[in-house]
Amino acid sequence: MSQQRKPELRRAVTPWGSFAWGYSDVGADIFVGLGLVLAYAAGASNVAFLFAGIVYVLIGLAYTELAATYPVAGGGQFFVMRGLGDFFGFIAGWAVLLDFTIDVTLFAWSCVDYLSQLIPVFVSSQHAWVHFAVVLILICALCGLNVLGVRESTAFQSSVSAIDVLSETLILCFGFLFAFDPMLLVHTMQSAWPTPFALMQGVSLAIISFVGLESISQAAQETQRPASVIPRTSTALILTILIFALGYSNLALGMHPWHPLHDAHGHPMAFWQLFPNNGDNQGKGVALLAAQVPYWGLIAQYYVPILGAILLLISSNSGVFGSSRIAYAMSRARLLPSVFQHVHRRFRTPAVSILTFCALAIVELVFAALPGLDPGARWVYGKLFHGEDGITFLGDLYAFGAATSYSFVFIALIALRLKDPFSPRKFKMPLNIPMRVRGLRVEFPVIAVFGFIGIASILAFTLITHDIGRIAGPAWLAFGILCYVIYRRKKRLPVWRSQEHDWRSTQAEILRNAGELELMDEYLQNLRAAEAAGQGQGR
Amino acid sequence: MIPLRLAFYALYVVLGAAIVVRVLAAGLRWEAFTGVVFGVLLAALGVYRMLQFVRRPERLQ
Repeated sequence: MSQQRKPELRRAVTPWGSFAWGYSDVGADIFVGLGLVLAYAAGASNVAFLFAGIVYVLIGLAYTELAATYPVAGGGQFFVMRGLGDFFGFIAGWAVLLDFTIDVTLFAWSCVDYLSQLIPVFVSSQHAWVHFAVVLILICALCGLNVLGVRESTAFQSSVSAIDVLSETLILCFGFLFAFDPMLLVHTMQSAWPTPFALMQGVSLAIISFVGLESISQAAQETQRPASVIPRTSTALILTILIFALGYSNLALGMHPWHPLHDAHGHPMAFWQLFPNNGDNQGKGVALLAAQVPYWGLIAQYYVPILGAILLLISSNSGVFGSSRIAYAMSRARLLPSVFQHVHRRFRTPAVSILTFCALAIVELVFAALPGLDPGARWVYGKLFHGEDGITFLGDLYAFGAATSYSFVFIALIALRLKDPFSPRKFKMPLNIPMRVRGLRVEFPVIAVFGFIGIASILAFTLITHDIGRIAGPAWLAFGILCYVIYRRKKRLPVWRSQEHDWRSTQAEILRNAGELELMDEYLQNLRAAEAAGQGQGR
Repeated sequence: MIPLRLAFYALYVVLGAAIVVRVLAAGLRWEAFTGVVFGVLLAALGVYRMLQFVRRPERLQ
């Protein structure tokens, strides 16, 4: 019997591990996002973070509900497929795959930027080839680590996440106590308020600081008792990240630098002015801020670049983990070829997926680094993309992928509330309107509508303001759809419609595998009651 | 360990309240809005965790 059973992902992630997994991904985002948002949104950076943060809270609530109800490795892709069918499930999954592979490259890139604060030879603008080579080595190393297994990296993430929460809190404490000036905040917001176009750019980049909740859903399949654990870890994660993002952006706009800053002509500068038109600084915003915090900055200037680099490396690792797991889930759902669900017999990890998407991350790295490595490429990028390159190239695509997949997730949440009221929901988004649909009592999630409007507007901002996001993002989706059509035709599966799914058995199996036996009983009881009343056939 | 945790949450409340006061020192202006939200959130997180701890200490294990 045991020889016939396919190897599956093991459940090795504890509650703290689940939080740490999400935190190491989302928590690291502020390390990348702060500099980028300050560069574009300038005096309105805190407003950009607040807008993106509100949307993020709504996304977080949606993911919490869905991941606790359907604790499977597919995350957003599974929810969309369950709610809207195979085709839209594929598009959402394909967009998430783009995000995770960008995640690998972007965070490895930023990791080296943080290290460059201590090791000048890593500065991208001056030693482009060294920077490129180090990022490449990091991606290859993470690939190997992930092929080896899950538990090892989870333990590592947990300890670094704990140190980072403490460190970020200390930086904020010292910054607000000794360097923050409310009058300077007001002055900066009035004098450096950006144009509407730049503000839209800033908001679309600010969403980068909040991407990563997908990781918790991804880890749901490997979390013990996910329906109970996921709501707790997600709520803590949402609040922690939002507080840090708002804290850092307000501090950056309203702080007096501990050491006076001067531009090339010797004129005094405000802290936020370090970032516009400076790609090197944009990649290490938190390290620069920490060094300018009075007293604690003496220590922070040395350890924050290292801590940031480690956290970013872990986040990059989350990208490798996420992309491989989502490809695994998509393959099991017959949205991608079966080779992606091959689990390594010894390590029980999806080795083929890991290798494939790390290779894709390397291709993205080449595209991002090319203008810095070759003057001819710089000229081409200047003509086609208004000179966007490096970290902004990656940031554009990251924002596009996140906004696309999150938009679908909100629609899927609404659809699932209407189509599947039988699944027990241990956590529900607040503000629901009870109603009857085809004889069934359902609850319409009002907040999900607001969330969809918010994330759709961020997607629109990305398409309007980012030259690369506008071209490469839709091109990625078009390429994916082409591959999907070819694969489904070859396998004689419906292309635009969904294949037959027995969602009832699937859901019962998901809950049983998750160890949520009480929820499974409740689900089966709901189904029996509905059948006795002659409702809900075929859902 | 228990009093240390409570002290940590109390620190959140104090810090959040201090930030609200500090940001509003520039007067009641719309520019202070995000700072006030930040401070209130921080204090609310501290209160939430303290209440959670007092009511059901096992949830924090």
